[in-house]
Amino acid sequence: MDQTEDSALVEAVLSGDRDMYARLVNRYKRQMYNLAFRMTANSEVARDLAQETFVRAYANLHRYKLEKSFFNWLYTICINLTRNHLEKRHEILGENGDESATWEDANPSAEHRSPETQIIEQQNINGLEAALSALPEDLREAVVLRYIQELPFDTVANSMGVSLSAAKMRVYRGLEKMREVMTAQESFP
Amino acid sequence: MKSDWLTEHMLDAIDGTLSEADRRRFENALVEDPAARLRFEELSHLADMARQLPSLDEPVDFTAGVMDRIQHINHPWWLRSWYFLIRPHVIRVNLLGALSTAAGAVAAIALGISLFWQIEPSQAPVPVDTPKQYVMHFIYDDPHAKQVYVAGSFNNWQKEQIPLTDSSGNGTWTGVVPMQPGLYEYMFYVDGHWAVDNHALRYKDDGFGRKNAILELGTGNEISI
Repeated sequence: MDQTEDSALVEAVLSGDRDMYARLVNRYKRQMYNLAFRMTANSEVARDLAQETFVRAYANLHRYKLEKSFFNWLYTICINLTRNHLEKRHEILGENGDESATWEDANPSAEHRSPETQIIEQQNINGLEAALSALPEDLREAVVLRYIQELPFDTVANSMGVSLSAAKMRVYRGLEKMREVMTAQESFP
Repeated sequence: MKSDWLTEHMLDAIDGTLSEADRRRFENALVEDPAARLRFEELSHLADMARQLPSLDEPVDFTAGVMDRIQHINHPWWLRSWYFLIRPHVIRVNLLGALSTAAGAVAAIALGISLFWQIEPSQAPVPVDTPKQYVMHFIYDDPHAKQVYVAGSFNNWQKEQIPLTDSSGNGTWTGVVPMQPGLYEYMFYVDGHWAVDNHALRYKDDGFGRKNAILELGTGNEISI
């Protein structure tokens, strides 16, 4: 992402050009929505959390330091909102059958693939999501940030407020735990 | 001890960030430890699967929902003023309007002077009420595009009349178009094909399976004189 352009857009918004904020939203909405969805497994909650992220960011835009990464700043807001939500609701992925949504529910474009491909993909995705959902929140967050959101380890560590080695350990323990779950469920492809 | 070393370097090996010496040592260690090899292969596979989890499409009205919610949030006036002053602006001057304003100012000064000195005011020009003009900045991102135009109801959809330029060479094509207040539909015309403005706030079906972006001027933030 172009940090210079982000800063220019933020300045435009702060000078009163509110519509320019739509460009920032469009630029990062997918990452925020996906992060919230992977942490909550609920498309409606994910939408609300991701939208709230952008609203909070707008309200506090004057606190954002232009020389820093806007993406990282948004990320911090989103992950904090998600943590708070999970703490409040005591949500654990997969346990709340009424609220949880599958990847297919949240991604209607999957319908365009062939039925065979969809079945195989869906089995793999379901197995992975079930294993992810079995993780404690701190390990899940570490795995989501590192391998689903593909953030570098130092950013994962910063986001989680832990040392680099602690972040690596959480990711490793998360992967190990997922491997155990998928092996037990015989869902390892 | 060897197992600890393997575990410690497992993630770096999965990520392919081991040094050449450590990579050789890691591979040699795996040869001697089949269980560790299996663990490494499964964890690598798991990491790959996680990386390849499909990205979800956000709801279609996501941006509009955010923009609706921020309409009532105002940043402090001094902050807006500060950023307004320090930012460069493209200003479209309506010459007739500017002259009228200038004439009005002259007339007001003359009137003030005449009242002060009890002198009869001369015949001052009457300010003309001209419609506002807007400056619309069009932006289209495509690093592979060779020619980009914007066309819409404001220019009778003439495809190659208003070019956008990529002055920085980074794929951000921009163009400035003076416009009157009104409701317009538009698209980009990129290398001989119509392209939707993905950053528009509103759209309308064009009847050909595409979406025209909607532009409403009259409540915007563009600068006009």
